[in-house]
Amino acid sequence: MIHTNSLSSEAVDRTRRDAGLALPIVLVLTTAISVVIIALASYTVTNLRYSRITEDRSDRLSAADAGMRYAIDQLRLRNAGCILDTQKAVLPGVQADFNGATASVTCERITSGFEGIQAYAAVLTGEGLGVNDYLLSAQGGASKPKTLGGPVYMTRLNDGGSSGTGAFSLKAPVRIENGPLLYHDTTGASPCTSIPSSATPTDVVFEPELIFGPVCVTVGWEELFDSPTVPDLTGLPIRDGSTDFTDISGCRVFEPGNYTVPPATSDIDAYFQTGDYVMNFSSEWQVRKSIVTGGRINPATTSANEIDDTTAACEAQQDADPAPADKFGVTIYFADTARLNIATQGSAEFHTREQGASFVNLQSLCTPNGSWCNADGDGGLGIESTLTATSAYFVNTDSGNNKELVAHALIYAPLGSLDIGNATNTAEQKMLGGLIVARLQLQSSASASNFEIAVPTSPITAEIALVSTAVKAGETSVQAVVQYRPYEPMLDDRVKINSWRVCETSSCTTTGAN
Amino acid sequence: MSAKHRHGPSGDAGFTLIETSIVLVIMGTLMAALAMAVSVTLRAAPSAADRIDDSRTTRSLSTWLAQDTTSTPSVSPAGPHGGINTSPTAATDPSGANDCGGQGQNIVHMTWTESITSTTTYVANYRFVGDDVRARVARYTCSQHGTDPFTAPREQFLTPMLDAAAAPIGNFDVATSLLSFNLTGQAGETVLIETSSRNPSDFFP
Repeated sequence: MIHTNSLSSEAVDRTRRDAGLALPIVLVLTTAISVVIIALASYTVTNLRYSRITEDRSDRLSAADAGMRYAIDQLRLRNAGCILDTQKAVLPGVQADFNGATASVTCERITSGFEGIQAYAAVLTGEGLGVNDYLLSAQGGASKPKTLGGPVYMTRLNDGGSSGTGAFSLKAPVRIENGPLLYHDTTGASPCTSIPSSATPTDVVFEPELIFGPVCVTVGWEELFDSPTVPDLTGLPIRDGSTDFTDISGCRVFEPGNYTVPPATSDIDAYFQTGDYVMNFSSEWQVRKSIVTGGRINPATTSANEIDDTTAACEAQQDADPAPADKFGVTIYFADTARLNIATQGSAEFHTREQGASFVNLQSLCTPNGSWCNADGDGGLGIESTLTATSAYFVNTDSGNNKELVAHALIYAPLGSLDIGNATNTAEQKMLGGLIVARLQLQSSASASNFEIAVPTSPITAEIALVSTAVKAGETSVQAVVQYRPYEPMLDDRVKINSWRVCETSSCTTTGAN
Repeated sequence: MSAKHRHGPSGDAGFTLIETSIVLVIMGTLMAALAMAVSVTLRAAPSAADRIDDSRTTRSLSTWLAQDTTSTPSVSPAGPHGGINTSPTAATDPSGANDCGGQGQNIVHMTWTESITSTTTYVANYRFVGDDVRARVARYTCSQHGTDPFTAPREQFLTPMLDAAAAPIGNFDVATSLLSFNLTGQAGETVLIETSSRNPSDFFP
């Protein structure tokens, strides 16, 4: 019993000594472990979060990159419909998810596409016409558009609709190719806002339609286009066109001069020697049953006569032209009511002649007025053309077969009108240096295959800013500036990527570091 | 007997704190020995800290270097629209007058331009900055709008401290547009960085 009591007492003492120690030990251990776990968790969460941010950013960059490449391919395939609009627009069909990031692409045309234009296919000044009088008309041959190859300027674009009382009187389509249609915005807004292509008549077709359309300018034609330089014409001998010529082997040869009587160019082919001419009379100069050739060919610009049935006799005179070897073509100035008519079986071809900075074939003289007519506008003769847009035509070709007119250089008559008759079949109707007139009437049948009003143009390039923005817990953008030639035949030649920039915002501002 | 049965054997009362402590010390000693053995085994591999640093390095560089290289024309040396210069001796203008300045040794110097209404030139300059023992990669960026002066450079340190004795040498392959360089951590481990240009800087003649 004593032994038993001794053991029991010892156990009780031991229990008493341990009592109350378990809790502190547990607390200390729990605290220590908690501190370690919290630190580890914090570290892990921070790393996971950082990894997530990095991953999201990487996904956004990949998505934006993919969206941009898709958009550029769409440009190459000409599926981008927002090129004409100079406002930023969403490129259709590009929205897509890549790695969970949603990418979308906008495009914005950053150049108008007509910088550096050196020549215009047609400038229609509208001078002398009322606001409801048409500037451009097209008749006949509705299945074959009349093509103006190059930039075009019209002083106004008011569409009279079916009443035909606006700037257009179209019963056949007119195609403006490889250039914009500039017009004078008179609202006073600066910068002006161009009307959309849809606001022009449906018979006005732009080619390439993705790039070109109406473009407003805030100044009138007279501020945009000075009259070409006119040389001093006072030294030209006065000639009578009915008698002052030489017939050589069936070719009637005229020399430069101031003609007070129309040249007799009927029933015999004729050659006008290289130089300047003045037509100063109040009647019509008619080309009938005759092929008229004006001036020596400049081999740098023209390989041969366009009118291929020019007679050998006149080609011989062209080859034997007495002008200096570095002079080419003719410039014919018109005064009073002198005008040119291509009548039955008549053809006329005028080769390029340089006048100052321009190449001019047919020009109306004007009285210097301090506005559009330069101080030399009358060539020193003190005479001017009195033709108006509503009077007799400055130049016209009669309707029917075999009326041909080829002008290799500019036709300039800002107060007059030009009428191209109903050319048919393979007759040549070419104004290859453009024209500046008050009004233009175009007629050709569907069978006409050689109708052309054009100026040489280099391939038109539009510059476009594409911005591909990807969204996934933030925004990342890729901005590319590209040059675009939608009508290059080779796909790879349609788009050139000038620059490619990554921005951590959707706006890609052009200043500041990335 | 009945009392002995009632109180049970002495072991039922459990270990005392002293006994428990002794056991913990013994176990701790054994664990420490085991840990040392494991530590010796793992010493050959990069430490967790180094590996984490390497991860940070990769992520930081992938964040910024990929963007900058993407924007830079695949041209070396730089042309009129920018390009890449990986020469270690490429000097920078300390005043930052014609680029972003920056300290240390060049890893890769990138420039690119963007022309919308006027031309803006962008510069991103990756340099190895530090002392004889430790160094890290820094990114300097700035831009120039038109003919304005360059903006003040912005400095970002992208990596933890690296082995200063192993300065990274940038290599740019124009044919593949691939930029690459190695970074060496303080424990001697290396991380290969590779990225490529996506800016052809191509123009119609």
